Amino acid sequence: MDEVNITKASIKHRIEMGMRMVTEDPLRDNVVPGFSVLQNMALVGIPPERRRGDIDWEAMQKQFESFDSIKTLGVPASNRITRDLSGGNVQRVAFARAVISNPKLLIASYPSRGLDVATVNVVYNTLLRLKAGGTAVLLISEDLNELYAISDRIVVLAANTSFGPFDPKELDMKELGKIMLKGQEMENEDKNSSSEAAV
Amino acid sequence: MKTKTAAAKQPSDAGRSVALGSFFDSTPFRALICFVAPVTIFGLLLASEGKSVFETYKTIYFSIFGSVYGIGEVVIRATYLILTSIAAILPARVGLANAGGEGQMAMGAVGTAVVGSTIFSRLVTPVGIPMMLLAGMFFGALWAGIGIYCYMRLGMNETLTTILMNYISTFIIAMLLFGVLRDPKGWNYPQTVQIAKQLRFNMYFGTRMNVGIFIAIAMAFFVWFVINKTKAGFVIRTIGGNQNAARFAGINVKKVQALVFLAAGAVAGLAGAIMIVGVEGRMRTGAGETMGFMGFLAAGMVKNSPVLAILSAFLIGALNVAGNSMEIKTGLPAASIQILIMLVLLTIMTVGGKKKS
Repeated sequence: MDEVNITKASIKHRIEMGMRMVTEDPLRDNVVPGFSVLQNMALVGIPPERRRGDIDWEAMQKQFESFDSIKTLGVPASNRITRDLSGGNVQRVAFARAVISNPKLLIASYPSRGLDVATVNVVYNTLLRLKAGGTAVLLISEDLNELYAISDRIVVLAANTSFGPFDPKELDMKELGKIMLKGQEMENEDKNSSSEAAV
Repeated sequence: MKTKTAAAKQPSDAGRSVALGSFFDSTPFRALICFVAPVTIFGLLLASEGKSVFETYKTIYFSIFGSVYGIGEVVIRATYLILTSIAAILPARVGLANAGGEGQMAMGAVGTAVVGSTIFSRLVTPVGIPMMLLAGMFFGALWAGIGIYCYMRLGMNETLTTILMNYISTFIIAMLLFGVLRDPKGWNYPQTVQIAKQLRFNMYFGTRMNVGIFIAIAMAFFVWFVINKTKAGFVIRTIGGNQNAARFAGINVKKVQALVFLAAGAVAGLAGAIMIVGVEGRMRTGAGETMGFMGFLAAGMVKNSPVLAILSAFLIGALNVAGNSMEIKTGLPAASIQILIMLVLLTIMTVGGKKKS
């Protein structure tokens, strides 16, 4: 990344370099259930402002209200406790948090999971907007319609091998599906087969 | 006519049962149960042993509230218990269990006693006493450090290592007190040389009460403040809430855990230092025994809230004092009061907490 090998970089270092990640299960990996939405936003999202040794939550609240993507994604009110939110709402929190800092590289694993159709569209548009702004987006998904809708290049990971990259304009879904299955035949195991797409 | 009354009755009945339900859920009622249930069960136990229930409870009451000296003893024990409960609370907030408050306190105490009678013995009071307390914290943290090292580098369970290290510390201290550290002028008692006079706390009201209790209470509020009102506390709460989320947020979870664990050891060591500087003046075998274990219980009683731990520390401290005089007055072993303490603990944990929705 930026021509730097980050294989051994710590997570903190990676974050400082502009990497953000939305994992496939935010409730398990990304958010603290007992925290409010705002407090969760302060974890690698809204840059924390300090005041007298503490985080300045009032200033954070103002920032929270100022971000457009928080509004368009329909992130729930900042004082709600994350434990009480639905899976889709948690997903909104995790996704909004990752995109508000305009990362250089965004790794989004199943970003549309649990969201309604309208919000899924917002997610896609956000990803495309980030791409236009110079963000490298690595979308990890098994939803072929999703991949075809927004990807520039698709890489298939199956049977411990990567296939591609393919151009979605040249390769249709059936062909791609065959490649995914071919991997399965080789290993007879479909758990590892997931498709990645670089936008 | 009949149906009418029934219909009229129903809503009021429903209303009453709702009111009754909320009464059973209310805090005063729960508090009442936490008092009545253990006292009744312990009373039955006393009766089955042929002891007079009333006399025993009278003894317990008067040993605590009957004299200034009794209150002083409660305060002293509460001092240790507040600190050792914090030593359990801090690691619990980052997902670890420190069951080694006992050993950390004892190590803090013996370390303080040694430096107080040797290298610090010429220091004047305003310098010497803070140095003594810091020495206790250092030795407590050192002992906790061994436990957390085993956890971090060798992957050993921190609860078990710290429990086992309590026994190691007991025997090491016994070895020292019967060996190199024994006071040559101490009539062969297994105890260290007395620390310098100017390094002691003053005692008040003819009891053994000293300023240690204010240090302990201040520490409880300080810990509450750090956890809830600082950036560092936010990191601690994040780790406590979800370690995965903390890791993905770039927090070095293990490093924070290690630091918090060392701080916990230091707080337990501070309890030991206060014991030496305040009450004891020297280390002897058995000084401050069970205070570490009881502190762990005090922490569990209040679900790891440092400020509420002040209350549970006073409660356990009071029952502990009562146990001693119960032994003298009724002939029951002092340890039997621990039955009462455990009963209180169990009822509080059963009905005391918030109902899960």
